[in-house]
Amino acid sequence: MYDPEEQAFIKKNTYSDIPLTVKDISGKESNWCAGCGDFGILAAYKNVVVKLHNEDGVPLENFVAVGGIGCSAKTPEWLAKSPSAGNMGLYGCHTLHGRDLSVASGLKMTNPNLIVVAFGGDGNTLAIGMSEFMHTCRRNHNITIVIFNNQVYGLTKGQASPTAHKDLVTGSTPRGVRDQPVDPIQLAIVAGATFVARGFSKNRKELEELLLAAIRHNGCSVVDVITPCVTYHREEGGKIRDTAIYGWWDEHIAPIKDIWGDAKQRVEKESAAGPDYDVTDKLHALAVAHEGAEGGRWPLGLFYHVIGVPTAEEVVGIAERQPDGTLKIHAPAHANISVQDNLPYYRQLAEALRYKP
Amino acid sequence: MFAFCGRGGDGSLTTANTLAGIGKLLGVCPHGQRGVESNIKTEPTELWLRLASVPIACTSGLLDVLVAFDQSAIEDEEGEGRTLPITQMRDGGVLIYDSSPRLLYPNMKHELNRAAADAILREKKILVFGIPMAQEIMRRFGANAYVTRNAVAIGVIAELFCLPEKACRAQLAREHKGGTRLEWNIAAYEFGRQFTREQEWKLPGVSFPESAGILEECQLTLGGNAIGLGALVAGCRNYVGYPITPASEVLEYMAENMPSPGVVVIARSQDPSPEEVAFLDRIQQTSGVLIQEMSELMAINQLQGAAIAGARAMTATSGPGFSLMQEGLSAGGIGEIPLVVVLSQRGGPGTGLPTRTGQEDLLFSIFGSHGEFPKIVISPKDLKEAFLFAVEMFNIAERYQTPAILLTEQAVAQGLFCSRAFPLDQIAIDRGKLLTQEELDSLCASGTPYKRYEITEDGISRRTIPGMRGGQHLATTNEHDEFGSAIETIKNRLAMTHKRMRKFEVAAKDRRLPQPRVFGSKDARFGFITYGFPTNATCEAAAHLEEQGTPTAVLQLRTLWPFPEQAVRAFLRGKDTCFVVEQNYTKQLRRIIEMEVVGPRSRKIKSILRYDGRPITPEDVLEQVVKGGLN
Ligand SMILES: Cc1ncc(C[n+]2csc(CCOP(=O)(O)OP(=O)(O)O)c2C)c(N)n1
Ligand code: SF4
Ligand SMILES: [Mg+2]
Repeated sequence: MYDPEEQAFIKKNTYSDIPLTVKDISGKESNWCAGCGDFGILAAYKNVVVKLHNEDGVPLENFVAVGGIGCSAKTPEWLAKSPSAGNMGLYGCHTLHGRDLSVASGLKMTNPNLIVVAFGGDGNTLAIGMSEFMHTCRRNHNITIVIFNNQVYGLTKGQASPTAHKDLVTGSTPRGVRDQPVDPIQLAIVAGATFVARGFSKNRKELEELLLAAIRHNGCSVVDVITPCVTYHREEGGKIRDTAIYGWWDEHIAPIKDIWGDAKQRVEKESAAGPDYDVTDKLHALAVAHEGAEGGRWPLGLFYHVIGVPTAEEVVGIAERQPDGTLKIHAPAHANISVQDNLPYYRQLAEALRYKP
Repeated sequence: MFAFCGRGGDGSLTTANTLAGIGKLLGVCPHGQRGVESNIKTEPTELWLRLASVPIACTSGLLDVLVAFDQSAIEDEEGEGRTLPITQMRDGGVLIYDSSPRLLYPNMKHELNRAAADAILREKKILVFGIPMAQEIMRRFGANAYVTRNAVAIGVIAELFCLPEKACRAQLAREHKGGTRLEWNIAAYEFGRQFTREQEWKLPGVSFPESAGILEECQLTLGGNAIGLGALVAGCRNYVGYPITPASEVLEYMAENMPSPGVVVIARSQDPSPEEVAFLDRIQQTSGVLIQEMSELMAINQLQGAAIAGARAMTATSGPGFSLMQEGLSAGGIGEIPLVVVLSQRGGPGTGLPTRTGQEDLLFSIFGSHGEFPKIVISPKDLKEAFLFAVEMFNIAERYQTPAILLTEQAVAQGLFCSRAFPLDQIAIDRGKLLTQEELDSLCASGTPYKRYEITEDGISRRTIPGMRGGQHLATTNEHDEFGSAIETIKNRLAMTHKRMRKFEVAAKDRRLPQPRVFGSKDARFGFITYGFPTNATCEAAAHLEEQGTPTAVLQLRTLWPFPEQAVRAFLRGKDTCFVVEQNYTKQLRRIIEMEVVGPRSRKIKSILRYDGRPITPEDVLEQVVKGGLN
């Protein structure tokens, strides 16, 4: 959960009492295609920021939205300060294709007070940025990774992404996709993320809840969001700019509880937790994700959530667990680097180089 | 001048370090270079060690003593075309070799056969001292003691040069902290001494350098460590790197010495004294993190995040990793992010010569990366500059909010150098136009909205970091307006391009960037231009020419980009001939001089090159001067 000590610290230092509204953070108008699922994610995230600010007391200036490259990854652009919108805006980084998670972890590892949320497409995060994805999960950086899953490369005009299902015809796969699709949920769980969920951009309420919980979670959160690309994701007989793709998605998703019925047979023997789905049980989570992937129906909801696993920031000591359970932050970005103040340490180091072959 | 040769794992490096350490105890300044193959064991290894009264920063191509642990020093058995150390001996030098009969373990193939070099030994009148190093040690202590045979060589050298017992034993004790290892090493050393006495070996014509009494205030270490210390003193509190030779020294130095809260927890003793508490508290307030990243792609981008967050952050790499970082550097160019990257050059292309030196990436460091943006490249020649320039890198990167590259090479990063103590208390930190919260508050109160990429006269905009109230902006890799918002209008594109490139014009006039240095006779008609490590050998060659009656000047370029065009022009004025000394085939520095100063067909300019992966020596320079250099 979002750390109370950290929260109090932030509140004391910078919290402004003026309640935030969605308008305060709405920047220039997005250039997404009408009907694109990404709108739903942006809207949900704005509500989440308002909630975190007004309820948890997170100062506006502590949010950093990081994007890779892609239609989806432009999200930070629409949240940034813009004179035409007259908003306050969020800090943001529009980075490189697939490299957003490294930028995000760089921000978090040098200033753990920041609320870092990374936005990237399935191509961005699961193709070119796969290494970043796996290692960010593995180290359990306390950041939130939002994957915009639309099975295609939107920005480059409609090639297959690594989540594209078998036989999907796209610009780069005229005879259909041959490769196995990747399942970000299973990957995230195996890699070591400690909060793993899937939402649907159309189900705004549920998505908001998932995003809010993901950000409040102290650890690496992955939220895979199904977000239809109405322009380039075409199933057989589909037309350009076709919102009918929403209907196709509706047939290919289901709440976790619906799939659990079949999936639980997979874990019955191994699991001690009984017949109820348990979000802290890795095997349950993997079983349901696997069942969904095999059956061509993507489970929606919270798959996996464990607390108390040390984050990357705790492991290196910049977020230091105190005996009372709270975290003490030593942000390298705010380290005292005055030469004068550190001279005794530097002298010691120079002394050690009197002879060090 | 000493060389130690064997297979990897034979202990050539240990022997060189032991002798360097003894030299240090006797107040003598060592300089060492590694010529090791890119593997851990079994390939020919050469270690070069030069000892002198005053700090020197290059090896000499004329060996006084060659220690051979196996045949590789005197014979190119596999026909690799190596320059054999034996051919680099001065007349009347001494070859000390392990004369043990065919060894059982572990390099049995490499029994030394001096007959292979008979002609050269005779021609150069080399004194040949064979001593059964391994045989004797294994006879006394068993096969496991084989690894201590190199201490026998120390004993021989100690006896030949009349080195005091105390210093030799103290150094051995320092390296082998007690136990049988120390016992065996001491025995090996004693055997070396005793055998030398019994054989009545003498070494006429060379003596051990005298102490000039300056070593007490000296730093004596590898260039890579000095870069690491410089970075820490500059306030680097986030090091991100992926291991690669010859940049791993920096990574490992930072790993060991980055102040960290974790260390404080471990270090706090049960009943700490007030001074200890104060010291540890100070460390805690200056804590940083070291991250061994999973690739150079991740390293350079993690660096972006750290720099955007306001930390002073750095990465170090070599050619292959630097190639992977190009997109990230370019992103730092347009995003105006202060990225500090150390590029420690090795022989390329591809994997090339991973452990050997070269200067093949000068043009790459300047012109690499897609798109156009200001980039600053500076290069140190030795230990002290490595330290000072590492500090300066951070000031430059933050002053100009753009990528800054410390261009160095294996011979500096892994070379052992001696230099006067680092001037720690003279270090200044300049964070450029980074705003404080108070400054930002008063800016916001005045009603002007904060613009991260504000167009200014010098091209540099005021910078804020996440967490600062009112400083919100988008740090971006897209072309953008003053707020950071993506925009593609012609007017904006031109304004932003001009803004970024203005920073470069300002930097070109910035006297705080390392300025070129002239050594030797200012009005000489004969000169050299060089940068980085070859400066040391070139200066020594120049001094030799002066001694022989040819006034000579050397121009060392220390900031390479923006190119110090005026200094080069001034230097060339009045010169009849000027040699450009560099370690690559394509004459990269010379090409820049031609491009920026003299044009392509200047007859004045000649090249002196060495591109076989080995550090250039004064003898190389002199030899090529005699031949007239390359056109
Ligand atoms: C290094 C690099 N390679 C390729 C591209 C071109 N490119 C831009 S976006 C993109 C794919 C976008 O797909 P996805 O990440 O799924 O995002 P979407 O547009 O679908 O939201 C590609 C290949 C790039 N910008 N950088
Ligand atoms: S191309 Fe697809 S993903 Fe991109 S904005 Fe249009 S609908 Fe959305
Ligand atoms: Mg996509």
